[in-house]
Amino acid sequence: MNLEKIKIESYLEGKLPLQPELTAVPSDEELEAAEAEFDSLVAQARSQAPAEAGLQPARRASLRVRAWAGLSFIAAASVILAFILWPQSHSVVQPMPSASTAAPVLANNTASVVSESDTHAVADDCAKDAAAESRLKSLPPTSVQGAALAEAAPVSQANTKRGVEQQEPAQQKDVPNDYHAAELAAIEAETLAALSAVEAEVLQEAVEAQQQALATCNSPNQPS
Amino acid sequence: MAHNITGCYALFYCMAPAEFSPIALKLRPRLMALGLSFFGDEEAAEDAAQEALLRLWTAWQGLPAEEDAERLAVRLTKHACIDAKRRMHTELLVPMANKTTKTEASQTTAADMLQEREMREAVVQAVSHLRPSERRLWTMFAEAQMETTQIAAATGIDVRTVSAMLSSARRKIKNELKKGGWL
Repeated sequence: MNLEKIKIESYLEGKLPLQPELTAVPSDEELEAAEAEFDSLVAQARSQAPAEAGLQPARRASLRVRAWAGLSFIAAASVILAFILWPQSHSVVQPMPSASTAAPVLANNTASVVSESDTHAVADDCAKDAAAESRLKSLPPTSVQGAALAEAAPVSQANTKRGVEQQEPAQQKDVPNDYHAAELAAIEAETLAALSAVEAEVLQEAVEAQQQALATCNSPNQPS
Repeated sequence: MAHNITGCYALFYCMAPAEFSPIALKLRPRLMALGLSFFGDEEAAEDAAQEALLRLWTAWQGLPAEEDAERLAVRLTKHACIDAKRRMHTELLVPMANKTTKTEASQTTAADMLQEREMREAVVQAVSHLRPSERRLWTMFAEAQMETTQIAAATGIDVRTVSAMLSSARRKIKNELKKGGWL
């Protein structure tokens, strides 16, 4: 046991090799056989992967990392570019136009709305007024009829004026077209209601006046 | 190729031990490239290059010229690569038989032979507990009897780091042998 202990201590000091096979040099035959096998295996590996044959693994890995980094950069740049360009063409919320660009658009919109709907309504109202006036003119003139005409004329003129005046601020304000359309529709409805009420009242009064006139003419007690 | 070191200096010029370090430093990148072209793995290539330089050191003083040293180093690296590849596939350990132990064992009794064999197995077992990097350095130190400067040249590690790693490896082997009752 003492002998083994001495040998171990010598071994630990690096003075006594215990595994000489680890440092033995192979024979010439072994070296030649290993060399031939090595060369054939390397040539075989290079023929299987000719593109990467000359590259070392570290170089290959760095090339792969660079390729992935490049692809990631391109993808990120594309996403950012798409995000920047998106609101200009496909925004969910329509941006408010500036005063310079909105003016012609609003003018066109207002002109079309007024010319197509409101102008027709005002023209219809005027035609109705003219018809009622002609009917009243065909009747005998009374103080009530005159008052009704006097009352109806300013209302019609006022409604017509309101409809015309409505075009001017609509062209100046930078507000959505829907708001103008709704306001114009409300004005139109209000105008029609007022006109129909006045027309009904005038007709009623005309009928009453005619009945009174007939009654007066047919009365036997009244002197001719 | 002759590897007989005895009488080399007397008959013709042989490589001096001091020449090993600079030539090993110069050869290392070439041997590493060879290992990398074969394995594609830096650690396996490092193993092959170090094993080749360790065996080159064994044959060093029998080599006539630097060109022979370079040629032998390349062949030893290729052999180490093939050997490592075979070990990976078969997972068989190299048997411990060698001529010197046989000649020594023939002069001793059967009990002494048995006890020495057990001691060698205990040492091998203790060395196997080292990390691979420590094991390579320890093999160069204990088996090839290389100096720290030569080990540093062969491994590419700083001399002070080599000394520290050797001290650590020695302490670990001692502890393992103490556990087995050998010290």
